[in-house]
Amino acid sequence: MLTKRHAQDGYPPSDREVVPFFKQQYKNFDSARLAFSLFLGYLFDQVTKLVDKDHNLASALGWRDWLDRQATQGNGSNRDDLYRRVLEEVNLDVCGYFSTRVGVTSYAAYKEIVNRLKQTALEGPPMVISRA
Amino acid sequence: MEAKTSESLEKLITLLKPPPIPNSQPPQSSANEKMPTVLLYIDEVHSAQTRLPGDPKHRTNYSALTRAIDSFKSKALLAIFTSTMSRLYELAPPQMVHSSARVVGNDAIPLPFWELPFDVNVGKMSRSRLTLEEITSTAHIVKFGRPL
Repeated sequence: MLTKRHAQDGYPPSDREVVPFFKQQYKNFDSARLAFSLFLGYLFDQVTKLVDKDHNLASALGWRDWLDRQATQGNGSNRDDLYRRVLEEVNLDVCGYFSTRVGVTSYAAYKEIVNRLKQTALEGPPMVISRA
Repeated sequence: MEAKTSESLEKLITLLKPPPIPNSQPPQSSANEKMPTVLLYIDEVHSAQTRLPGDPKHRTNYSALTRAIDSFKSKALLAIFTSTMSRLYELAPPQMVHSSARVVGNDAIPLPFWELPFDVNVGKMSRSRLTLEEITSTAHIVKFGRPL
């Protein structure tokens, strides 16, 4: 079912989380590369788990149909659920990385970064484009 | 980090590869072994054109993303980037002004597809009656031959 925001601009809710992740400003080239490597790694891990459980998802057709189906747990489609889980893992891992690299040792500072990353992920899409 | 991500991809590729057919001959050419098993498709990639602050090469998130994917170049992975924005010259600039020295003067780098047609097979579609569910199915939509 289309949500109100989905119906307005054609973006599914998963794009609302993934697009800001790719759009946000990273500290430098290595930070950005790390964030994207983590994203891909967790995405591959999640897909591996899913295909291992149901081999029908190994085909492009099966995978696409599964993505569009309503998630059995949580809100939205399987696509929304999948990307939400991947981004949660990435955000926590990026925070862990920064905490060791830049000396963020206090829990308050750690939570601040987590909250800021979550806030970024919840922002709307950068622009409204009609989809082909 | 990239080694771990590469390992995750390798697991997925192994899982997706069809099992060998019993008593069949091995493939004649190594070309089959290089066929992509995983297709990574990133739409609206212009969203990743955020400039990295203070980067001497004026690189963007997109540069970092392609570098991350570049670490899988020996794997059976094909990555496709698409965008509905017309400012693709920022994503795929001419070789001579590219920020990566590996790209400058490298004729093996494929040129981007600047413009793709829409619903190329629509004239060949059958006019049979279909239900709403059938029309919205992936199996039906792919018959249009949309490159995007």
